[in-house]
Amino acid sequence: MNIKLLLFIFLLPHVGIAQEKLKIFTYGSFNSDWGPGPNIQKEFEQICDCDLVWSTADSSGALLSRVKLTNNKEGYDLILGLDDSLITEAKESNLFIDHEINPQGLDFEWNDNKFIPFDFGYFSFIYDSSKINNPPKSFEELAERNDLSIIIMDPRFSTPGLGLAKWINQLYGKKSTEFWQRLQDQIVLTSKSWSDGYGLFLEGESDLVLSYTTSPAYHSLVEGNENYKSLNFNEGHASQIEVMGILKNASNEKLAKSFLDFALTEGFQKHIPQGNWMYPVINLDSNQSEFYKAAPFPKSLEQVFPSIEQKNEWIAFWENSIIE
Amino acid sequence: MNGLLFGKIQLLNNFSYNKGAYIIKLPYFFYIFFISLVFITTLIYLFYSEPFWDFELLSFTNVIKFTFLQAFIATAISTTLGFLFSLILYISGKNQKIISSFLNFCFILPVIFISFGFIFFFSSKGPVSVFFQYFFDEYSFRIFSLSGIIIVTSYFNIALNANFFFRKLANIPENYLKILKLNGIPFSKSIIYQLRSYIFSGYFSVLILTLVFCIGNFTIVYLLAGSPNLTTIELAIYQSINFDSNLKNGIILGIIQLVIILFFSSFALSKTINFNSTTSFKKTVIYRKSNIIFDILFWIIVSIFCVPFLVLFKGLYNFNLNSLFSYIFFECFLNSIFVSISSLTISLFLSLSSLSIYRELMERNFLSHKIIFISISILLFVPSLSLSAMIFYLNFTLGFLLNNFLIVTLINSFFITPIIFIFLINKFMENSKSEYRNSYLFNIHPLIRLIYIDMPKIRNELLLISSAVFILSLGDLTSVTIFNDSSFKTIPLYISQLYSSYRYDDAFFILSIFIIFILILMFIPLRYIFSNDKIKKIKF
Amino acid sequence: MIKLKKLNFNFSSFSTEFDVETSKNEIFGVIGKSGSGKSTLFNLISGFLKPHSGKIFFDNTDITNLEPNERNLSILFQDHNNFDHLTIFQNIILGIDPDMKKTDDHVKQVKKVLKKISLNFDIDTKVSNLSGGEQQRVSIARCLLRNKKLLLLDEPFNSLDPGLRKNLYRDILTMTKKEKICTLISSHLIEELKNITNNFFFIHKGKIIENRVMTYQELSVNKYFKDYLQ
Repeated sequence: MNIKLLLFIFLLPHVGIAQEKLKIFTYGSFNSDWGPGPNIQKEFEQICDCDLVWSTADSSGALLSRVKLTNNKEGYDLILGLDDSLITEAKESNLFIDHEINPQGLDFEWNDNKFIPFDFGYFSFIYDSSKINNPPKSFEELAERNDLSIIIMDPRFSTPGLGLAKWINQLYGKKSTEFWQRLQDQIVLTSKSWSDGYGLFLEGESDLVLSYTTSPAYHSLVEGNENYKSLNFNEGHASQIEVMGILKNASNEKLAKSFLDFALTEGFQKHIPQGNWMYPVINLDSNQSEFYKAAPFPKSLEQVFPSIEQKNEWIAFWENSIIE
Repeated sequence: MNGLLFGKIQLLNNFSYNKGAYIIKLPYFFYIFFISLVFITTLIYLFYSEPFWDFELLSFTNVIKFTFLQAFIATAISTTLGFLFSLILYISGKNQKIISSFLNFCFILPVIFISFGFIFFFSSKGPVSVFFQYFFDEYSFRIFSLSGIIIVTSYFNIALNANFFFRKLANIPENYLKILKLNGIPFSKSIIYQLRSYIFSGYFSVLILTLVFCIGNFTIVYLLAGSPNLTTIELAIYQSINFDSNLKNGIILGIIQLVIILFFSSFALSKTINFNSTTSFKKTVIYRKSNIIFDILFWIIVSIFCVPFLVLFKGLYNFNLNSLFSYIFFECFLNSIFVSISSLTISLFLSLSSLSIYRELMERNFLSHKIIFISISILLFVPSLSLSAMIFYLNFTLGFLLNNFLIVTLINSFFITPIIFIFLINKFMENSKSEYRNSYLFNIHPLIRLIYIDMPKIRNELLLISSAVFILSLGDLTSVTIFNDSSFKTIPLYISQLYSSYRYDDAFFILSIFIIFILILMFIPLRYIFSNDKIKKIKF
Repeated sequence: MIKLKKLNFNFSSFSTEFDVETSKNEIFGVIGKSGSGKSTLFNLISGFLKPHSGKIFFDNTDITNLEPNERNLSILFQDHNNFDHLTIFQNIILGIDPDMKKTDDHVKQVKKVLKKISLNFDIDTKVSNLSGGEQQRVSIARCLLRNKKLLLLDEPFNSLDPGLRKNLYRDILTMTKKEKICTLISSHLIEELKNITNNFFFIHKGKIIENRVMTYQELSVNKYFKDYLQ
């Protein structure tokens, strides 16, 4: 056989394989096998004719730290998974560019020029209703219940943990440390990430775990297990909006912008409810009704976008309660 | 030396004398250059870029307090139980070489394996909880606590201490035992009066080593704790770099830890740290009268050390071919193997280079041989994360020239080099005076002497220590927690990430496969070393 | 007097059988090649090894099944006779008191035996500070204090210089005669042994040649002994 023909046939599949790459830096559970990442990747790669490359950090709290420390020398195009509490700090790092997208059709008002929201949720504590039949109905009642053990996430390293610090601060202000102290005896574990803590809760290491009001929907819809429920506090629940943004030295800014555009479409958003188990930012009532039924909205507290000092103060209230 | 060998040596000697003159010293000088570069860039950073005087030491008081609290408690427990266990193991009269090898084996097991082993054992659905909750409603022990950290930390250090004392006991001169027996002195009394000084001689270095290992506790605390009241300095360095993007804090904490550890280890560095070689057991084994109580205690101790192995049952029960044949597993596995092989290779070159220079200086009666000893053995006391923080800055300065694989390999090799160096030093220096005289007389080049005279001499010890440090490196979960990316992860990191993602079944399964692989790796050199062993049994 | 009646101990590679009787308490030299069974003989007599068969009698008492500390004997080795970190007093007194208590009576006794062997040191001196010969003297002092009737010396002076050895052999001879004890000395230094005794056990391949005590003259015509000397 002709050698040249053989070579041509051999090399032919490789022609056109050199596709554009989009490097996304996110937290571990987003891109896990059971997270929304793989499905989103399939959807986007079909329309962009590109390769999505995921990199993950130990926890959501580590995302911003990593790019700040390395000045994004690792060359990520965008970060997916920061939350509203970190937006100010992220902007002040001067690592992000304007996205130039005009978000339309969102379920809430959004005016930020650097970050796009892709999901939101409300913090809560999850419990097993087959073991606890009189759950606390408020933070105050929770603090009185010494019979209940709790797993939380570390506010320094994890956005849910930071969310809890925000939540307590929203309710107790300068007296947050006192409230944290009342809760300390019940906190049996402070995990470094949500999946760490939630997994240990499911293994029976505690009665309650800090998570989202939407978490029981997973157990109900996927496992058929109706036992896991969310506490419903009279005081209201703090919210979290997760965002993504394009890094300044992104190697493929155009592709990154098109991903941000894509994130606000149904192609992306439909994987959020039963992938990331959070609420989508666009209304998907029509085809996600069972999700909304399994995860009704709780009473919500006001949305807060803290400065770095305010964020550090929330964390300090918590740290002081442990050290004192 | 036979005529053929001698002729070969002369031929090679003539050929390579000039070229090879500096090869033997090169690895050591490269090491000195690199370490100096790291320290100089660190000092520049602390004095110019981010002045260290802004550092808020008070905010880390809790971390420093906790570091020492858990270190002192674990050291105290390890010393006490180590001594007691060694007595029981010795009096039980079982095969001494197997006991010592078993204790060595427990000491070098991957920290991640022991940690997960105890996590499984003490978890809410683990055997201990299931047993106690059946009888006691109030049982609520949690492994994710100070107690858990102490338990896991003590596991290794009990093995280290028990082995030290056990070898001392096993090497009590036979005549001492005869004198005691002849004078009707019970063994228990002789431990207090006649043998105490003998048994505890040289223990101070081991005690300091134990304390230093406990102070530099990272992996255990990383897996079991991490909240502000349960954080060691090493973990705080990791948190500063990974979560606070505060390299300055990471570096300064690293220097504080280094200074503290050097302070403690200066007491030990002045004394010889004697790592045990393969040949320190006598061929004659003296048995005690069989005693059922000591037999039971013996098996209890063995069971305690085997507790983590229960996790293998859990892991293998969740046999999952998909996990085993996944791309990510292969990638992590290959990374682990390549890092360990590379680290071992670098360490061997560095150790042998340092040993040769040390010996040359000693043979020429230069006091500077002590500098060589200190410059290498000091690495034993430098915690991995402290070094990682400094190398991170160096790499940052170089525009991230060094990739994660290279950095992790270098850091691993720096922490295993002193182990190889100290383990081989006695055997390496054996007969050095006569060898030096002969080498000088016959004009044998140092490199030739190293290859043809030293290597055969230290072959057994080299094989044993190489397999031990290879396993230590395989199971390491320290610097890789900082230096990792999507294309570079090792098996220990992968397992910890699986566990953190609530993929417990996969985590335990991969862990089990990993440990079985390590057991096979350990078996090969042990079998070689035991193959020539004949033990005569004489009843006492 | 010592009597060994078909005293047997089997190793995996060879076996020993000792059958001999002595008529009175004096010095006996125990000689033989390395590995011939000299140490085994001593271990059997002292009780550190239990024989597989046979009996040991000392002064007509069957001591076969007695523990070492129940036998009326003391033993001196080539090395490790003293605990280096302990004092002269402690090393000597442990022969009669395991707790090594420093009572007035004990001090008196120790000083007395030290005088007997002409060792002039403060009793609180650490043994590690003494020379090899002085350390062996301390061991001899302990043997004296124990006042046992059978003394076993397993190559005790091999590592010492000839002058010192001569003095120590003389001390042993004096002690044996004065205290009327039975002394067995094993050594390769036959010429020196000849100066203090003419009674020998020659051990060859685990057995005492001719199962009796022999004089040097009798030994010198024995073919195995000639072999040994070469």
